[in-house]
Amino acid sequence: MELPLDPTVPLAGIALILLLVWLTGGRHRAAIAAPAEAAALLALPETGFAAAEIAVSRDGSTALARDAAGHIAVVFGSGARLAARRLPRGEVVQVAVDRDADQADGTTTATATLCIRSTAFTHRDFVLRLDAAAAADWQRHLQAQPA
Amino acid sequence: MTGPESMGPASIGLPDPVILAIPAFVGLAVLEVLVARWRRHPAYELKDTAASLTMGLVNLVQAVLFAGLIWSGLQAAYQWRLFDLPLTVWTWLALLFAEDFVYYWFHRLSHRHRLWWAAHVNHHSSQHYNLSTALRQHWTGNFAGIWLLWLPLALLGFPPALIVFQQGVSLVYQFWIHTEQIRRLPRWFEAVFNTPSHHRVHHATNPRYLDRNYAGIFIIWDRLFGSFEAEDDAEPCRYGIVKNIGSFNPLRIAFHEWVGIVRDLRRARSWREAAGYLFGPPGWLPDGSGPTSDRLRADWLAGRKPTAG
Repeated sequence: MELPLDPTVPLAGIALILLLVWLTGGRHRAAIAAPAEAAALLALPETGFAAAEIAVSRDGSTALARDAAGHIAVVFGSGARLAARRLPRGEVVQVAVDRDADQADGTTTATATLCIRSTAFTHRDFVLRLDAAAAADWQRHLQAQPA
Repeated sequence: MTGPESMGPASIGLPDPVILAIPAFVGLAVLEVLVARWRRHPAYELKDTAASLTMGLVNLVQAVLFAGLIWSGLQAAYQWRLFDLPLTVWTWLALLFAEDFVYYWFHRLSHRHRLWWAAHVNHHSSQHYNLSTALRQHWTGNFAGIWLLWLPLALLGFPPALIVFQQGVSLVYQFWIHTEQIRRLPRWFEAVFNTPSHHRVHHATNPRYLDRNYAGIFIIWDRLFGSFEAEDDAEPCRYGIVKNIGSFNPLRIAFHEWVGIVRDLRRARSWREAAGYLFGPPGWLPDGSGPTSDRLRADWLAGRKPTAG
C-alpha cells in the first residue's frame, strides 16, 4: 500500500520537538507543597470538594482528603500538573497498607505505604507514604466512606 | 484497492492540506517551545508532548485506513446530489462556510453525547494547552461514524474531493489556535474567526467555560447558536477534562471513555439507562445527579457546591 507521506518527516519532527522539550526543562514533576494547596484545588467548582482533613504523601506526589460526611477525594501529580478527583467508594478496587516499608527498626516513627487501586482511572494506583498510624487511619476512612 | 491519487483532493489536482502542513506543524511547535522557554512559561512537558504527538501520528494512520470507506460514502451521496456545483472558487467559498457549519455541529454533538465524546475526549485530555495539543487527535471518531455528518454536503452537490480538501484546510487552520503564546488578535478578527483566545475557553474546565466555543474556523456559529463565551482574563483557563485521567499512555487516552461506557452499560438496569449512558451528556447518571456540564454550570451560577461526581 502506497503511503501518502514519507513517514520520516513526521517521525523526525517528533524527535526534534521532544528533544527540545527535554532540553528546555520539560521533565518537571508537580508536587503538593502543603495541604492548603490540595484543599484549594479540591475546592474548585469542577470538583467542589470541601476538605475537612487532608494527608499529603511525604514525597508530595499524592494527597487524600476527607469531607465532613466522610467522602474521599484524591489530589495527584500528573506530570507537571496537579489533578483532583473524587474517589467514590464504588470506584476504589483495593486499599492496602504495606507496613514493611521503612519499618526495619520497628520504631513508631516508621512510615507506611498506602496503595489505592482505583478502577475510575482504568486501574490507576495511588501510593502515599504516610506515618504508619496515619496510613491505618486513611485505610479505615477509605473502607468506611459512605456509598 | 483504489490508489491515493484517484481519491481525495488528489483526484482533482489539489494537495492534501494536512500532509502539506506537517513541516509547518513541526516548525511552529519548535518555535513555541523556544518562545515559551524564553518567557519562562511552562507550556510543554515531555510525557504530555510525547503522548500528544503519538496520538497525532496514529490518527494519520487511521485516516489512511478509513479513507476508502469515507470516500465511498461521499461518492455514493454525491450520486444523489440535489445540485451540480461547478468546481470553481465560488463553490469553494460556499463550501468554506458550509463545511465549517457542519464542523460546528459535529463538534457540538461530540461534546453533548457520550458516544461521540468517547471519541473526542482524547483531544481534551491534556492539562496543557500548546500546539502539540492540537495534534492529540482522535483514533476512534471514524469508527463512531462522525464522518457521516459530512455526507449532506455531497448530497447538496459539493464535489467529494473538495469536501475532503476543505476538511484538511479546517484542520490546518485549527492547529495554530492551540497556543497560550498569543493573547488577543485585532477585535475584527476575534469577532469573526476562531482564535487562540476563543479556543482556550473551549479547552477549559472552568464551569463558566465548559462546552463553549465549538467553532472550527468561524466563531460566528457560536455567536449565532448561543454557545459563545469570551475569555475573561480575571478567570484563567484550567485545561483538561472535569475528571482528569492522569495518564500519558496513548492507549488509555484513546480508550478510557470507551472502557467507562462498557462498564456503565454492564450495570445498566434498563434500556432507558443504557441509552442514557450511551447517548446522554458526558457525566450523565440515571438519578440525574451526574456532573454534566449543564449541571456544573448551573451549580456554579447558583453558587452551589456540586452534589455528585
